[in-house]
Amino acid sequence: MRRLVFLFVTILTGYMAGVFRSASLTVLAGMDAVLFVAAFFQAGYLKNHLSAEAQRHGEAVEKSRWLVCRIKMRNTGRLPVSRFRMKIRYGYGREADSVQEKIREAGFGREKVREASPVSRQDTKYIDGSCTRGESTVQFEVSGTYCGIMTLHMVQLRVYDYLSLFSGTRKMEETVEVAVFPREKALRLELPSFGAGAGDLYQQQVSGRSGDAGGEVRQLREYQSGDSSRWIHWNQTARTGQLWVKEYERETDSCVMLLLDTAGESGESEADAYYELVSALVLGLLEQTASVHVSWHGGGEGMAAMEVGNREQCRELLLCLYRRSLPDPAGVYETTREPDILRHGGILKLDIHLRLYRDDILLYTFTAENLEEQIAEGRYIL
Amino acid sequence: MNGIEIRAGLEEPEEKGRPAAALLYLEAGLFGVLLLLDSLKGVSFSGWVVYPVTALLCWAIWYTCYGSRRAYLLLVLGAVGVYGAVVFGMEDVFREQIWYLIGCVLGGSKAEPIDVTETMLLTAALLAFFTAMLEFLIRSHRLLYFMTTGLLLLAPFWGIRAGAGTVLLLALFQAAFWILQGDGGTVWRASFEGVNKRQILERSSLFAGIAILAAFLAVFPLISVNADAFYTWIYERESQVYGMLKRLTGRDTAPSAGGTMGRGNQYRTGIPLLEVETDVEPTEPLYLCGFQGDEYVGGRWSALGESGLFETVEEKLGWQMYSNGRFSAGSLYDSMYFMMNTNTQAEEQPRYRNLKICHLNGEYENMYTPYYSQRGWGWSGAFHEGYLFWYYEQQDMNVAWDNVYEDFAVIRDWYRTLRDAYMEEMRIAYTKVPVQLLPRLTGLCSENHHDSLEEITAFILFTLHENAEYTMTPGWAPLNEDIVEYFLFDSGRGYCEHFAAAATLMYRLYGIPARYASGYMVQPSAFEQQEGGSWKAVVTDREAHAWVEIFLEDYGWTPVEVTPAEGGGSAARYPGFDNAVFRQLVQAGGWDAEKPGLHIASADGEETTWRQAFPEFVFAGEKYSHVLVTIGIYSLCLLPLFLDYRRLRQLKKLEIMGSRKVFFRLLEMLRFAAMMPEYDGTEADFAPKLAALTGVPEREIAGMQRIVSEAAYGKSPVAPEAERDVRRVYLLLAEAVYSRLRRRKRLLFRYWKAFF
Repeated sequence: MRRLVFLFVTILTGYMAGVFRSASLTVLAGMDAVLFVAAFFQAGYLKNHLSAEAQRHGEAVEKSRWLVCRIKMRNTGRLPVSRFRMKIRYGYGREADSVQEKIREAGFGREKVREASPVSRQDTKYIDGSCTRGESTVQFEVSGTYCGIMTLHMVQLRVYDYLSLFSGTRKMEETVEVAVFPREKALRLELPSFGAGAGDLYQQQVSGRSGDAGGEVRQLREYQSGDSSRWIHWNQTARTGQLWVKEYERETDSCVMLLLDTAGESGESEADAYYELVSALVLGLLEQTASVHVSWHGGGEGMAAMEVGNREQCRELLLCLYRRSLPDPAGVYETTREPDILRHGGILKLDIHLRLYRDDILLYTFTAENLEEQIAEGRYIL
Repeated sequence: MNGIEIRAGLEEPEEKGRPAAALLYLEAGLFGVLLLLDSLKGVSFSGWVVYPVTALLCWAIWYTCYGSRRAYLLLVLGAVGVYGAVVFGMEDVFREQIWYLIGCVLGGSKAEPIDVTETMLLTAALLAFFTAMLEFLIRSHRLLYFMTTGLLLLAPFWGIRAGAGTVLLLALFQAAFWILQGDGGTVWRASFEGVNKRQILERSSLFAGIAILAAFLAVFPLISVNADAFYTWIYERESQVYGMLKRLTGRDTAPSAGGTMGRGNQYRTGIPLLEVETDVEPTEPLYLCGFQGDEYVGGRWSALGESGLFETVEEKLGWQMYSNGRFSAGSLYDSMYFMMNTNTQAEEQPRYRNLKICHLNGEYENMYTPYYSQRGWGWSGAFHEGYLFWYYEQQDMNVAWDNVYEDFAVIRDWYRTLRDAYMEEMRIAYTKVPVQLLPRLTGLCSENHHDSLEEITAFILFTLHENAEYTMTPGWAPLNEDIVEYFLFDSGRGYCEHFAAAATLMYRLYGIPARYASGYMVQPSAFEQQEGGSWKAVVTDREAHAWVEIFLEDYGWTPVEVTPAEGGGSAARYPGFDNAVFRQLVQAGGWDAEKPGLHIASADGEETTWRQAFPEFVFAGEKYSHVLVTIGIYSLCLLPLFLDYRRLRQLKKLEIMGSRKVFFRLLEMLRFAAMMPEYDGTEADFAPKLAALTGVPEREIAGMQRIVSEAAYGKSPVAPEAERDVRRVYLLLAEAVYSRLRRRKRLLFRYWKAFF
């Protein structure tokens, strides 16, 4: 449109110059015509000398927080670029061409083949910018509402001449993957091993020791209903006349087994709630125990497992879940121990419908709508 | 939404600093407009006042706009107050000047030229604030782009010939701000952050400015050589479009049927309009008059209506009883000269010719009449087959009032009485000229006095042919100019309508009754013999023509051809005047093209120089010197401010400068002052010698040396207190050195080098 207007004005100027025999208007029309042609060539020149490259191809950000994405612009020409426009296609999941890819998704006790969960819609955004000669960095901010892997694919770079009459376009193949993690919130959990009765998860699965043979006493607290008599601090009880129980320091080699059942259909918001709950559960467990042994179905036939001992590893776990494939990080391994795991008692299991089991006994059911409140306010005894 | 939000450039941060380019472009735009107004005919103002004041105001607006908004507001309020008070106090002056300017634009004002400096100052201020508001505050350029484009394109309509400076400055203003505002102020939907966009756009606009200058330098020589070819090319295209439209719309009206003078180009399509047939082969151009002009009312002739004139004649002659019959004065007069010629006794009685005129479009609202004619029998109002005239060619006219057939004597006496009465009345009616509309033409005729009709005709022909060139594509005339004066005194280009109108008015100014006439002129060569022996010509719009009628006692109204003949020269010919007489009179009169008011076109086919072809490009005009001198004065006035500003910035930088850099600067200062130029600051006797020269204590200088040495070679960084100490000693030394310099060098030391 701009080009047409400019051309129209040039032609009109030329016509007026002719009918009024005005030399100055003729010169003006001539100048406009020269500029028009020059603009065409300038657009090509600038296009040939400008390239863009993402500074980092992998980024991580917490849900609903802003991440700064930096793009390095390289202008090898002699002129600054007054305007370029980058076309960015963005969405969750992989590119559209991989949507048809079929993955095998196995649930515990059942196996089925289904089409990959639909890749979320790809939207397009155009961002304008300008850059000097040489290298410069431009940036924009991105934020995700759901947990998952966000893909920013820079597909096109359009470079305009100074009057924005013409533009030259070049294709781009730059992709930035941004892992969107849940906010770091931990579930408030109470494990029976820490002051709870005998035969609990901690003892059976992890330490395997008797209660009094544990680590250092952390503190004494008043007896609560359900506390095992084995943990009563008899001396203190005798001194005060009130029942006191011992609480031990967390064992450094203690571990909890968590099975993640990702089988079943789920939309974006359900999956988001699931990831959020996984994160909160694992972080909550990590507050109580040294590590969490997490197993889930990997990309292949077998199971994937990972020992999560801190927040960073928790993020790695989530990343593996996002990718639904066997992850690369150290400490993660493929396993075929499913039957062994299942044979053990006291295993925590979280399914895609936000139901938490222990030894196949449903403990709690969370809902996607109230998950935030349930995480923030709830106290869960496992 | 797909759960992802991208945030880019939603709120563009305000970039600090004053872009110098913006000031440059603002002034370019305003100066361009002022130069354009300066080009308006009749407008004169003091360039020495208007341009510098405008430049200063631009600077103030720019400085406050990009600085403190409060200061800008104060400036606006101050300007409103000052200008308001001035306008209030000088209300009469402004009113007079504004009316005068309006008169200049509309073209009707013929008042004495007045100086409009005050109004131009006010206009410049309004334009400056308006432009700054759009460009600096709203950051939108589109409106101004279209306004300046409109101004440039519409200016010729009011006779404003934009000069080279105007075009260059306005082109720079348009393109540079277009870039500076980022596509003329289009808000980018989303923009990347992290770069100094304004700086980039500023640089881009400077490149564009250079490109515009280069384009100007490239185009100007080309246009100066090929302008005519370019205009011809435009006219050819316009002609094609005109012809195409005419064929599409089917309009085939006669181009010269009305009294409105053409203000643009004339394009002929060759569409057949009339068919004329005679029984005898014509030997003279046949003038078919379709319109006769009565009064000239500025670019238009009112249609002739002689009924009032004949009523007066009848009243005078006491012929009122015949006023409605065949013997009314008008009816008698129409055929009087034909009848007189028919009834004049001669040895060889001339034979009248039969002429049949047929309108090919079947419409007979406007009829065409040959001279020396009478409507022929058979004309009964049924026009579908045309109408008839009996007419004589001019060469066959031989009216002898005293030598008629006896039986015609009575009628001859009536005719004579009628002729005398008519001549008396028409002498008043057809010598009217609106002199207030034509001051230059009136002046020309009053300056060149001539008595006889031949002399007058010769002078008119000479004036027309020497001052104007015949062309069907003279270009458009400005709306505020009288077309006749513009044709004769400004453009020097025109076609038959312009030649005829100018000649008619000149005849009238000399007191010779004359009428403007238009219709068709059919050359004898256009007639072809038919099978029955008659001669027929197809008349197209190419035969459309305009001419002058003058009144000759024995011929009545007679056509005079004032349009130059093909290949130059005069085709004017009437009884008693021909080309030979014309040449003789020109020679006798000693008229030449150098005579004042008569040398618009180049004489003797001499090639026109580019200065003649492009009068608006002549740079010698005083207005350009105004602008250049203003820029010079302006720069000189602002230079101290700029240098002082730069000095303060340098001193500000000194406050955060590291000790080593401060020391290097000290060494540079000493070299500039020609003190110890051979020292590099590491010598042992550096401190005592410098102390001796400047009077600064030696221990201070030695301490400075030590700190700088630590900064250069020490393992730990220098403490901030020590850095401050180095700066303090530097300032002490700078002050001491400054006081020991000569006055001229002091200025350079302080303002150019900014050491202190």
